[in-house]
Amino acid sequence: MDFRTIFQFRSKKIWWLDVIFYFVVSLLVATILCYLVFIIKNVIQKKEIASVEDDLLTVGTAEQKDQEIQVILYRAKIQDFKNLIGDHEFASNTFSFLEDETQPNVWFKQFNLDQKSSQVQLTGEAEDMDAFSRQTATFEKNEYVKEVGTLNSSLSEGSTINFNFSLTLNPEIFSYLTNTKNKVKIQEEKIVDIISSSLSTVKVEQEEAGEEIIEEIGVIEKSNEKLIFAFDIPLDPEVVGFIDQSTHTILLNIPEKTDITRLVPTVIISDNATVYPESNIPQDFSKPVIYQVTAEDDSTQEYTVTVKFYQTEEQIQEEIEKAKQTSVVKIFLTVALVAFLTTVGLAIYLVAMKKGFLKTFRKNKK
Amino acid sequence: MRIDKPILIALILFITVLLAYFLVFPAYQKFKELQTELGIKQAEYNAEFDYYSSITRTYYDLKSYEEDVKIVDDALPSDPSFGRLIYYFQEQSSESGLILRDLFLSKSSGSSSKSAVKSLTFSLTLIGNYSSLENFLASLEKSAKLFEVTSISFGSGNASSQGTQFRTQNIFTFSLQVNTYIY
Repeated sequence: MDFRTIFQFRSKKIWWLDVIFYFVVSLLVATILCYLVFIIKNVIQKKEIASVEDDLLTVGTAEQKDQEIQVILYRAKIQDFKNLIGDHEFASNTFSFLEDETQPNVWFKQFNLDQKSSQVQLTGEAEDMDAFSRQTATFEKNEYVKEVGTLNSSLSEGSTINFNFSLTLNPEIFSYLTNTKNKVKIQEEKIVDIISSSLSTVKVEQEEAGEEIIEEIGVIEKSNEKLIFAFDIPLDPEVVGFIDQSTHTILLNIPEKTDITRLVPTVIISDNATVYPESNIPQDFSKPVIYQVTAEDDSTQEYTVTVKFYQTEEQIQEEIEKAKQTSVVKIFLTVALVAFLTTVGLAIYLVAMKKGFLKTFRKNKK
Repeated sequence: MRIDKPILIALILFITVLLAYFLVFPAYQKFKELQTELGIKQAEYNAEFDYYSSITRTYYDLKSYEEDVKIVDDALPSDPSFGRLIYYFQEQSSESGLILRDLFLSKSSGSSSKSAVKSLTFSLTLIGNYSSLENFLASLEKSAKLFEVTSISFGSGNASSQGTQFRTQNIFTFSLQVNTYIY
């Protein structure tokens, strides 16, 4: 290896070595600057995160948290109620079944029903063997008898037949829908009572009943209820309006970039009340819109509807990705630019020095 | 002092690389992490906001079905109210034409992990005729509170040869097991 080249670098004054030197210095400065920029940006982002965390704490008010407890409790309770009603069994159906399926010359002495195992133990008396055999056949053929188990019979002193049956019934017999050929004696009103217990069917009946009562009394008391219960926009995903009943404001949290000049809200209000503008009429929500609810007694209540934009998860992810790419490019360009400008500046300075321009300039100045 | 430039250049480059590796790169990584965290927090905020909006809406929906919710509350009360239950059994049996001879709480099961429903099992001994029993069963099955008769047994020494099967005026002793529920 020729060490003279290295020696040359060390002993000779080479102008481009100065250029490289200043370039490297500017690179160092740019790196430090970059570091400072990131530190500042991180501090700003931490503040933003803290601010969003503070906002998060204010989302659920004490009232909303109470409502949440109630809603969760009732959701579970209604589900359990539904399951219980679905599995509810009616022991009385067994009697209706027996009454219908027993031969006229057969009588019972003992009756034991265990609903869980669907087992019925019957002890009784038949007029003769013919009546007993017909009774056995009737049970065997019946769709609600799964199995005729223990079967004992003996001739009594009075020439009647004493018997003992063990029947395994089809569990469907205990269902309230079972009609055992229209002979089950569950009264219709009982079924209506139970069905009406489910949340969906009762409303109409109550309204009719209410109307009847009003007609009977002859006095119509006008309602003063004028609430907006729900304010939804059928977008994808559906926008559910946040209704504050204390301040009578409705806040719509709408995805960014949605056209809000022609949104069609669905408004659900108190019974017998009216709302203006009406439900399902397009509205321009670029400014707050006032909805006026008029109760049956003509009293009114105004609700102010405002829109707040939010970013969907996809939009946020997209922006994060974009920001990441942009910031890397920006940093790279900044470093390159700073290094380039510094180098160019220094190069010009060195060239000027070498050619003695500056000396001349200084002399002239003097 | 004369500075040896090539060595200085190498030194500065080395320092630059060290700074980039140990300071700038970790700061950049932190910057990326914070950016993601901010995005997640914003999404969380929006989700919470939507959640509470729908909670409020559901709450007012529930309020509009107050009458129906009351039916559910009656069927699944939060406390057993034994006094009221005993009174109910007594009242219904006498209205149906039966005499309530014995009543005791035979079993009480706790709520499971799947459901908060607890069941109470009562054993009843009633005296009366078959028609009265039918009326009593019908009144239990029609009740706003949920009752389920899980076991019935009765009998007499003689078969009821007058009338049709059980439809007689004979007096029986009925043993019933009745389930009811609390929440």
